[in-house]
Amino acid sequence: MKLRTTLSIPFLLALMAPATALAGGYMFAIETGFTDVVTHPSGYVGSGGTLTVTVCIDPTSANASDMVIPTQNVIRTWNAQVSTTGNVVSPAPDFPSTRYDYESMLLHDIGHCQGVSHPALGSESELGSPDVDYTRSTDGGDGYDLDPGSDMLIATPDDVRGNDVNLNWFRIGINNPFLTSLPAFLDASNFSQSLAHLPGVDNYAAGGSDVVAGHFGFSDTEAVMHQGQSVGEAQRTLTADDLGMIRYAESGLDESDGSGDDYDLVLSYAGLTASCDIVIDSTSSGSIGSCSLLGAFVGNDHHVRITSADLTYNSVGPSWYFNQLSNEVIEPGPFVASVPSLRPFGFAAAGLVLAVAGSLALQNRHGSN
Amino acid sequence: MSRDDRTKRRCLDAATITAVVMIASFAAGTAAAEDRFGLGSDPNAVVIEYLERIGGIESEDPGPSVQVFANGRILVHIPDFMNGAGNYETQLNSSQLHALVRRLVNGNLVEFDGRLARDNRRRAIEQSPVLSATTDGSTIEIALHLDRYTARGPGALERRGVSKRISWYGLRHDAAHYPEVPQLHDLALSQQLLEALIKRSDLRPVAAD
Repeated sequence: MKLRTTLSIPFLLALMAPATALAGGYMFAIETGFTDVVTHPSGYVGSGGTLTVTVCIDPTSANASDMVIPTQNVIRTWNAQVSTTGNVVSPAPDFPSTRYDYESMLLHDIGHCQGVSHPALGSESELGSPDVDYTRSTDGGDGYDLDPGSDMLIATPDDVRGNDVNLNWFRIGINNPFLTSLPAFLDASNFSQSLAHLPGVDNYAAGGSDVVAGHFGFSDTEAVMHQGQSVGEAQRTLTADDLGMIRYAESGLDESDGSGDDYDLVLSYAGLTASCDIVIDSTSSGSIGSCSLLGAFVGNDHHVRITSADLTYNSVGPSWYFNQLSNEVIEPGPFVASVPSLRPFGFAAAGLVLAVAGSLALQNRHGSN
Repeated sequence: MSRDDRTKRRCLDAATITAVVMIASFAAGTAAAEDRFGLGSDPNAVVIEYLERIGGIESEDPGPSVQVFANGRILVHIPDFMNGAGNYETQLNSSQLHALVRRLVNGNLVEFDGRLARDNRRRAIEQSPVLSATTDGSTIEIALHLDRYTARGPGALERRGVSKRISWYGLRHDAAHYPEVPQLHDLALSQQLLEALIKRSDLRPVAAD
């Protein structure tokens, strides 16, 4: 387990909001039939330490050279584990409104390739809009129960979902995916998907959409793992909702922080090669971006390890923008508190925040080490 | 060319056209007699609809689509966010149209049972030693509208006014990972046939009104 110490940087502290909240779901929770399954990245076999997952670009991919900088940016962004608000910039100032932002697509799909699912039902539910935005769940065996509650807002805490089994995890007693107090660690003692652990007045786990963010008072904010990228939109920084699942998985098979199976996940860029853990390649049809995963149980029936992750994007259909501005070289950093809205500062501020976070003296992600 | 020559020429042209029409009608009639389906008499009726809802996007115009009409016209729509955005068209002759519909019908499109396919997929997932999943897949929507249709097998009765609608999320992934599910194999072949219409080389932009 890495030992990390914390430096005091007044500038960064000034940027920090008081708190961070966490929620989300895992891949394979539906496929395995185990709703509480925790999915770990490639290479995790139950032993602790640093878990390095390599990311590469297939050299035969269309636009391979244009993909390098945004791919490196995405790796830094996930490694820095900085949660932000105001992370939806539309229209994006640096590219035409007729194009899709490759870096934003990749940030989302790299999340899938690490094992994180949509926090909402998503198109995989085969529901139409706007029902796809309801909090991720099973259908209870008798079809989805979809009632937005008295506020008429989908995926907010007053939703009435009948016997649909919740798949979204949340801080115990806290059901705000975008802002709560920052925990020193995440494990089964403070993170749950049981509705019994919701605040007393809440009916269901909240989702990660911009509607939910607005409900909690955050404008221009949406979980990166929430499905649905718009043309001309950039979403290049993460929210707390995106980070919780990685942090919780890092507590290992026993889902207890401070034990020997804890790990620290680090993404590493492996260059233009087809030999790595997460291979990025282009296709000529289908969705704008997708991660095809294979997995195997590890330890017990409630933990899955990704054994293969192939990330593809449709290089022919949509018109793409490849950001060629680096978000600065940073080291794998700590999980830091929320950073307030980046919108007034644009992408330069996002890069600065990531850089500062990465250069912070590193604190331990797990409380007891 | 004299008036008489022009008259003769017109008569010859007419005779040629009549002969061609007769041959074509015979050919079409022969094909129709063998087919288990029939198309309606309205040339502007839509026979085939295909839409791919591109996964992972938010857009009111969700993806490329195709309409095939009973007169053989193919109309293709490419959304604004895609390369080559616009509306395109081309024309199939009668035999080409019937061949296209025949391939869909013989590919069991009308008989496709979504519930059975999902049950079989679930069984395949449960029996697979490897867990598999895909994210942000596209959803394909296919509709086939036939004036008459007769299922395979002895004693099958002809049905009139048959409309079949199918929607499937992540078909490419499912067909590739669960080849033991025949319904998915058949549906994927039909989807590839319809997707190919979008990529035809003879498509031309629809003239503005």
